[in-house]
Amino acid sequence: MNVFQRCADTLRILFKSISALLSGRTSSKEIWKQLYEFGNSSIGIVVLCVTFMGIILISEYSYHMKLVIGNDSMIPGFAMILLIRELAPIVGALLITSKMGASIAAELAAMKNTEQIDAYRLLGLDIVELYVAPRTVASALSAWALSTISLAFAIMGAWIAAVVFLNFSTGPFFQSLFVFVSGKDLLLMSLKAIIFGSCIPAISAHYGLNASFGAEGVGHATTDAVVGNSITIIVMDFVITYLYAVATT
Amino acid sequence: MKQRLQHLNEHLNFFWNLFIRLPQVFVEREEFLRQFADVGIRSLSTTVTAGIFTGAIMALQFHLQLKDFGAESVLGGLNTSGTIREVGPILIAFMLAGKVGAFTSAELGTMKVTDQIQAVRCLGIDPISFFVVPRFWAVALNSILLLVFGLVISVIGGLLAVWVSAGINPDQYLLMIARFTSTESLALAISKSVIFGLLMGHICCANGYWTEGGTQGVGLAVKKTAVQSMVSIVLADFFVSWIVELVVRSGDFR
Repeated sequence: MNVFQRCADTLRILFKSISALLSGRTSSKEIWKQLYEFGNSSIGIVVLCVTFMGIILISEYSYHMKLVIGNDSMIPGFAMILLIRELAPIVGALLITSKMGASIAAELAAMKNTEQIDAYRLLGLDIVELYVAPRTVASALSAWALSTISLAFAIMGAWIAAVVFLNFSTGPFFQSLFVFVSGKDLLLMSLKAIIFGSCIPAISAHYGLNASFGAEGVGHATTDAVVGNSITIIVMDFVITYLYAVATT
Repeated sequence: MKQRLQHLNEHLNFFWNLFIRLPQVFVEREEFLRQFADVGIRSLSTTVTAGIFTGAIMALQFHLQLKDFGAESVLGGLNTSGTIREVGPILIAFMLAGKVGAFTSAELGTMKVTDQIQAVRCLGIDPISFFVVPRFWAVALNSILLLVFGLVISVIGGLLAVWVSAGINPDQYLLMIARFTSTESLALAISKSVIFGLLMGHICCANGYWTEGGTQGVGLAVKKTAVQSMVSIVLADFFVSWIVELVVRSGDFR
């Protein structure tokens, strides 16, 4: 399969699951179960990684601002804007990919190997409606929730690091934060997180459903799902950022 | 807790075992070179894509921030320095963790669950020296080279993005790179690449070699590799940045 066929197949899965969701053919019980699964399994690592990214960003920005402007009073706003607009949604989505996207691909590939998918088809059930659709909504909502929660932790981490290591006091830190960060940035973050999150199950399912036979097939499908998701996330992020940059000028 | 410490101990033992068997690479020269070429060729396109887009995203963001202050002239230096010191290594390493790490892990896991590793042991050959050591060094060295290459590409991606979208003068952009990107930043970027490369090589080989439980085990091993690589990359990045902070900036080395 070439890239365009892959994209077409992924889009087909995505639209099928969205239409299944809109027409109410998915059980809400399954959606709640998947929401718990997605959020619960990834909250630890997402919060950990984004918090550390926040601390690293603030120290790096302090280095650069001293280099360019000569003072670092604006760094909380600058660093947190980058975190909100780019890194919180990207890192959150990448971690959900490696945690849940990989297991969706592995599970579907294993199901295909043991001919369970053919069995479903024989029973007249559609695997996309049954399996992918609840995960699509669960993944989108948990990507959004996780990036918001981890952002709160990251800001706290950055605040503590700035007070302890960079000789900031609390007042100026939050003042500078609120001067630069606006509701628009949070909206952009939510949009990005929801878009990335809703694409993860469709892409993983595409690789899982097209897996070749045997243990090797499962391994390849899982690997390709992680890579495909990562590349798609970073390319989509570029497109959204570009549109945002064009729209604001 | 005790179990976790035991697990850590196993990991450290495994890593040390692979690390000191570097001479084995020259014995298994052919296997090493084949793996090296395989991994490199397979991941080149991913690295280029990741590098270009990372640089471009950062450049657009920095441009949005600097524009309000009329400081667009320093964009090139700030973006290059910020990308290669911090965000570039992390994001490119995330991509490589999927492409290089997970792939090798899947390969070793498949060998394990189809009993190929046991078969080699039956022939009286040490499977770690035969299978794992060449792969570890191939993945580690390749990741280091690919990360550095990706960072170079990210500079080009950043330049292209702001040149096309915001009409920044490319000459000035390039001039500023030399002004703001210090040798220290380059050394930091390269040392991060080395550490991430070794980490990824170790994690994928360990998870692949310890795979258990048939077809589903392979999927689980790949997932574990991806998650563990990403988390350990962020933590390692934090510690490297912090050590440099403490050593270089608090002491008056500059």
